Amino acid sequence: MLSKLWGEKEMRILILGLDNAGKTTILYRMHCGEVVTTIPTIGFNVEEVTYKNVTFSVWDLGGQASIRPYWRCYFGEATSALIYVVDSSDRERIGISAEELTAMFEEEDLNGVPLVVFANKQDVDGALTPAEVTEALGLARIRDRQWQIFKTSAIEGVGIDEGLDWLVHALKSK
Amino acid sequence: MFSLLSGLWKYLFTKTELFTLIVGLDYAGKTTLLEQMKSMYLGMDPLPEEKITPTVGLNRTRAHPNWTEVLVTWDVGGQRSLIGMWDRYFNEAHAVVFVIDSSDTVRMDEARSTFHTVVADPRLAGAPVLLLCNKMDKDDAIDPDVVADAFGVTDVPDHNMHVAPICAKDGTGVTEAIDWLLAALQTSPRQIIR
Repeated sequence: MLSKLWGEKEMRILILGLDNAGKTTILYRMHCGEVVTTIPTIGFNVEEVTYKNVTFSVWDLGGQASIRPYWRCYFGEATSALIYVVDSSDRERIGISAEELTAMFEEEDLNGVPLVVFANKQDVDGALTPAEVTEALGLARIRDRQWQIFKTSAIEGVGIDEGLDWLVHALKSK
Repeated sequence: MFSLLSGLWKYLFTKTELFTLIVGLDYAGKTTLLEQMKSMYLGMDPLPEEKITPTVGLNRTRAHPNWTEVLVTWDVGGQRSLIGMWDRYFNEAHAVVFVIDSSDTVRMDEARSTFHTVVADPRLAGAPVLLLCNKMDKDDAIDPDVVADAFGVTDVPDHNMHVAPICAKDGTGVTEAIDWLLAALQTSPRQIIR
């Protein structure tokens, strides 16, 4: 209650998604507005991101199959929002991505937490549209949380700010 | 003894959740309406109009209009590619709000046919339907009576139906419309199996 008054509450955002979806590129886009050269994340990257006077600690967790089970170590009360990144050009693995996301909905610690989905890599020809990604991930089944999908190209810096705008507002109105 | 007391507590303080689905074509003003409801019932600052982007997702609010009920409102996207997903919510909705842009004569027929597809769906049987004629602040807004006629609302069976003019942007008419909805929900025959 007091920490709410003083505005000291930590806002933790987790960036999740399969390997090679673009999570680290999105994190550094948010952090410094630049495209950095990334290597597959083993473990995590964490950065402070200040957007519209709101400061978040943003955690980008490695997405390879062998380390996905460790995502849940980072859930918990401090998690305010989820950003789920999908490689829209990877039609083969969209089903696996859907399974991982569905598994997260079972987590009590994440109940009611707003969800932003970045349908990333829209710069690639033949990328799935947001409506197709919505369908593939089964997002229309969600009832207990606000969610929104944005088409993004982390490389070109498209769509990320729109997603953050929505998220900042959703967190206020949770 | 404990179970007796906790039962009493639940009886006194558990609120009935009423689910309302807001649909309508894109740019009708569904999210603006939801923002206005957040401002009315939760005292939040509404998101400025220019910040509202086309919804591809689900916005929701929980309002407490009285002591015994919680009005949970779902606002879904209205773009053509998303209309097909509305029906996923039908089984669970107690009521439907259909929003139209009263000043958009070009898409009025599209709005009308979409409206009829929604109200004819058997999964919504018995649900009160509120048809909101939005953007009444615009000079070229069509009169709600004309809309009601054109939409043929009196010919729709199985629904308690109401047409109301609103301006979601400044909130004109919204309270009255939601009050109608709450009253209609009281007498609604619709049963939801969750």
